[in-house]
Amino acid sequence: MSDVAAKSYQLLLFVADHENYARQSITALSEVLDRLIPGQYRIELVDVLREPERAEAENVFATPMLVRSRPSPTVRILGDLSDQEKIVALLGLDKATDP
Amino acid sequence: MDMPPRSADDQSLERKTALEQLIASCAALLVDLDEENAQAKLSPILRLTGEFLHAERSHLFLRSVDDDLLQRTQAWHIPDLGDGSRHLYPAAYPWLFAQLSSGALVLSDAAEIPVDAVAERRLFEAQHIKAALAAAVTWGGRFQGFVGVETVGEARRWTDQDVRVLKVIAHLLSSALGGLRDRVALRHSKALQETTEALSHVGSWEWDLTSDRLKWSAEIYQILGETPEQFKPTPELMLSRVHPDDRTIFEATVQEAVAQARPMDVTVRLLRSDDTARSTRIQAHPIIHAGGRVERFIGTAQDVTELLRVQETMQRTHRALQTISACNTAIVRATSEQELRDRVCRILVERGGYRLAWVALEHGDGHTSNLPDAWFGDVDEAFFRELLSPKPGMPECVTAPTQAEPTVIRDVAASDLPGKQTWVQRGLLACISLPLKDNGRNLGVLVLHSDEAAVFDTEEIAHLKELAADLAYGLCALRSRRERDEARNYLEASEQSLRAVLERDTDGVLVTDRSARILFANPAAQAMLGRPFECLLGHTFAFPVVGGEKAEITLLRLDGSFVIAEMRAAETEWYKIPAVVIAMHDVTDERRAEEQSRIWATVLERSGELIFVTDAQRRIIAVNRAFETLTGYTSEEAVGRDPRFLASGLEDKTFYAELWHAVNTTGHWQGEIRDRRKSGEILPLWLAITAAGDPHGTIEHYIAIGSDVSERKAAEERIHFLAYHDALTGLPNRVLFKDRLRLSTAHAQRTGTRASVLFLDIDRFKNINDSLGHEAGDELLKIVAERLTHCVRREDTVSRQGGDEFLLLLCQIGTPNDVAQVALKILDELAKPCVIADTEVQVTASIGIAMFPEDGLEPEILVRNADTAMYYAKERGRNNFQFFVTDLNRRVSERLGLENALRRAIDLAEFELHYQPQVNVRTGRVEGVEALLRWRRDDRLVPPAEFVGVAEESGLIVPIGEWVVREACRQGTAWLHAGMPPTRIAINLSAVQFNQRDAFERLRDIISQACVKPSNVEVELTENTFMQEAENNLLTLNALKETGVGLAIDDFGTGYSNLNYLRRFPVDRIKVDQTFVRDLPSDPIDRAVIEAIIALAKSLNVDVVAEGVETEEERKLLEERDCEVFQGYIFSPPLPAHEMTEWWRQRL
Repeated sequence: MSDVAAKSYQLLLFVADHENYARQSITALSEVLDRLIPGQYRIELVDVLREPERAEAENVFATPMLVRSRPSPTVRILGDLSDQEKIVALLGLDKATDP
Repeated sequence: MDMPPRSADDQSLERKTALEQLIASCAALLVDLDEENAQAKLSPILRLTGEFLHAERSHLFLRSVDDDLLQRTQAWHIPDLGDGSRHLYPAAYPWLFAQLSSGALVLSDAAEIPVDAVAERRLFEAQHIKAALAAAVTWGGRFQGFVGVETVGEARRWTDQDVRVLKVIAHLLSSALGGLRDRVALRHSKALQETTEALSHVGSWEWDLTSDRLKWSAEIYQILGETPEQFKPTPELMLSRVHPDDRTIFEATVQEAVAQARPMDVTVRLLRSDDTARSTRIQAHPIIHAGGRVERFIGTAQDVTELLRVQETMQRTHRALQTISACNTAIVRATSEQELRDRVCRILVERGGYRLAWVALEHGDGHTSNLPDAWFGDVDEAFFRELLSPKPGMPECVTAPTQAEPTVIRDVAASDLPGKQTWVQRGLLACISLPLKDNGRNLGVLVLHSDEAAVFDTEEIAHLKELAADLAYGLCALRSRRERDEARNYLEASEQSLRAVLERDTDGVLVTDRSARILFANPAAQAMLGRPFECLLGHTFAFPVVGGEKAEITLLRLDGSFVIAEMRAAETEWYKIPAVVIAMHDVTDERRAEEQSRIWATVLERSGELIFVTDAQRRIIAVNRAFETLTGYTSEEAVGRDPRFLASGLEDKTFYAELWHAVNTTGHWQGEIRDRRKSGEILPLWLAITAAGDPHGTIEHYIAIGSDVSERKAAEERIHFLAYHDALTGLPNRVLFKDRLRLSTAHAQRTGTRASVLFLDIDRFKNINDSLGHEAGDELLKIVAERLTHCVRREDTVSRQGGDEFLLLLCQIGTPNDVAQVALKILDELAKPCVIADTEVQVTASIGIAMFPEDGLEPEILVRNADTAMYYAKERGRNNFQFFVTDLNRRVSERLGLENALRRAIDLAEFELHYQPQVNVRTGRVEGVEALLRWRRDDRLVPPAEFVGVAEESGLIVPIGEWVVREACRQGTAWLHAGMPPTRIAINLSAVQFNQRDAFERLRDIISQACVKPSNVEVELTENTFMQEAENNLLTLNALKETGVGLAIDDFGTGYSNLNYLRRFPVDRIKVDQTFVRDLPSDPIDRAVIEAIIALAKSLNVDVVAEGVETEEERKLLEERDCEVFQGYIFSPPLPAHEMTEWWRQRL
């Protein structure tokens, strides 16, 4: 837990079972995050059809959705997660990289 | 009033308006500055300037009259702040004054003062001045002082505008203070006329009316540019030097002063010798003669050209600035473009002093219309029609305002403008056309006409350009505000209609604010999300990201189902709030259909069955992989062709006609068809063709699915082989053998030849299996099969029936001897040693032979007879062969038939009892009745000898015997009831029945159920039964005896009787066998035997019954030997119950 708590970026990727294309985006996303905020993030994949209670808990009713639960405020991104430039901007990582 | 939102531009415009007002106010204060009011006027100027520049202190330093010391003339500061320096020595602050000499000091931060400017640093530090801005005040071409502002405590970055503002203020002060100094100097010259005349540029003159002589000082010559030598002043000459335009007023002034003896004061233009003019103020006082008449005038002439110019400039600047200020106020306050244009034109004429002002807007084609959009001045529409109608020579600036800079016509009269007379007549003597541009966009033109020629100097033009720019900005601001208002009104209206549309849209639409909170969800979106509006409003949805045109998302409903949707997103406004609209189009069904068709495509493609689809014209449109594999044609080769290209030519026209008829009438055909592969080989197919149509029954496609029958046929053959052959040996099995046998016998019958069936069983195969194991047994069977096959001809059949049994069929046999030869060969062949599981095994077999047609016509009978013969061979010691013998067969079959018939006889009630009386010859009484079993089979009475043996062997004797006991007892009771005297019923018991474990209990139960007295029942056992089983059955016999049942020994004398047993057993009667009785008359040995039996019985105290007594001779002989009870034909044969009853009745 201490490891988890240490990560300043907590990301949850909610996908539905059939959304293989979204599932794949986690790899591309991880690569970008490794470059921008190496070691500072934790990303988890949640299949909403298998774990509907987690989707309910995060009030997620559409997928694929990327939820940044930390740092506050919560950021929720829905749709084409392969658009990395936009994702990075929405996650506020373009500013994070500025020295 | 509805103010437009304060944009940066608006703020800048307000600032600008404040600036104009500042300058206008300053100019107004300075225009009539004099020594007395200097204090009152300069003080507000410093305050206004300081406030405008947001400074904390402002001051004016001016050079003193006699030295270089700068004295603070005026100062202003914010409350609680000191005045600062009172004096400054320029020499002490060389850096500071070098800056001021170059025009202005701009110091944003005291720290920026160069390090070597020690005095300045100290000065600023001492007074805590952080920032300073100062502009030089100059006149007479000299530095006269400066006006400055300061901040204390904080640095200040001065803008360019700040610098310009202060420079303008400095310029105004310079002009005003310079003029004041001139006027002060003038007054001083009056007092010190002679000495100061030259310095003050004031000449003096004297006009003697009496002599009409004129004389003047040297300074007037200076003004006129003449010398005393060339010019002798006379009134006429003087008058001629007055500018013609000024002569009238000059003469009038002079005449009035003379006539009324009053002072004169007039300013006229004097023409110099170089044709230039100098404005000269001429003042004079009359010297009045004693008679009240003016004797002479003494006066001055001052060259006021410069002074007037300054004053005019001041006034014009003042007017321009005030005009600009008023215009800017109008711009800020205007609510429509037309109002603004009208007001500005009016202000320019009424306050700006122009004769005519008008605005013409460009109408999108680079030209204005021929009437201005606004004007003010004493002209009418006709004027403009004339003015603005295109004509050669008219400057473009008027009709097509595309130029960047103002166009000025300073003197219309002197110009070559067409129709200039019209302008001049109306007093339009000069003209300026100012382009109205905003951000490079051409809006139109502002034109001003002046009633003075030669106006519009550089300064005025600069002010007017500024005004034009402000007006253009104002027009644009109003235009965009109007457009914005219109757009807002339009948007509000469209939002209403949009909402109405969205309510009915089948696509889901969500509107969120910029932080993704849901503001609106139409009913379709609520349905897609499976949540009512209350569960969506205010919830955070998400930022939509749509890479291309749309993104695919999944919507999760509350009930766990989901919807796949295409999402589009756009930024918009929703009731004036920046918002994001998300449109979702349900594609769930499409995706599922796509998925399904993809699965189907995969299934079809990967199917092992050949599939192709044609259009209605039977042209192939798609084939699968199996099609390519099976036919050898690629998809490219096949598509577009009629499937007939696959035809092999082996099917005739009728075949195809029927095929298509079936497809087109029933929609389906299936059957076997022979096509041809690309390689030329025949491709046998099981083909199913289906017509696929639209709902109206129009055929759109034909779908053909075929499987390669050649493979299936091979598979079928394998299955067939397995069905008809023995898996272990590969020999034909029982089924195939029977088939061959049937064919063979049929053939033999037709040709009149013989066939033979050999049934072969390996001797003691079980031992081999048990000792060497099943695998060894299987191995042996394979060897036997192989050897048997070698022993027969090709047309013969060797088959395995299962286990160690083989059947051989030999066809077309000559004699039984030929078969015997084969059998011998087989026995020899099998006898050869063979090694199985490392063990040498000796194999022998027993063979039974049945011949067709002698031993049976049916295959089943032939096989059975061969089997029977084989058993015979076994009985004959094995390792031999035997031919079937017919008798053997019959006996066995009769026995089997009898057993089956007996089994059914009990159920069919085919048994009956006949009764034969036992009569005491001495008393004539019936002492007993023996019950005798009879089987009525096919209307024939079968005697017990024929079936009792079989019944005993099969165990059927037990139920039959019990039936006998029950029936006999029943009959006994019936006779008693019928009034017959009580008598004994004798019942025969078989040894098998008697040996039953519970024989006694069963008998006892049956007797008691029949309600017969046990003493009236007698059980007969044969002597053999008695003796063989006596020891074992002693208990049963004793128990029986105890119940009262009688016991008789039947057939006495035929067996071996142990007299000891006889003595121990509770026997009541012995029955002498009929064979002794029959031979009694002729055989003396039998006579002796009977005598011995009777003697024995008497000694044992046992009764004797003689059986089979038929003749009087027999009877006599027995009577003679003390035998009294007889049974036999001499009294009665065994009779059915009712006849027995009849016989008995007659005896009574």
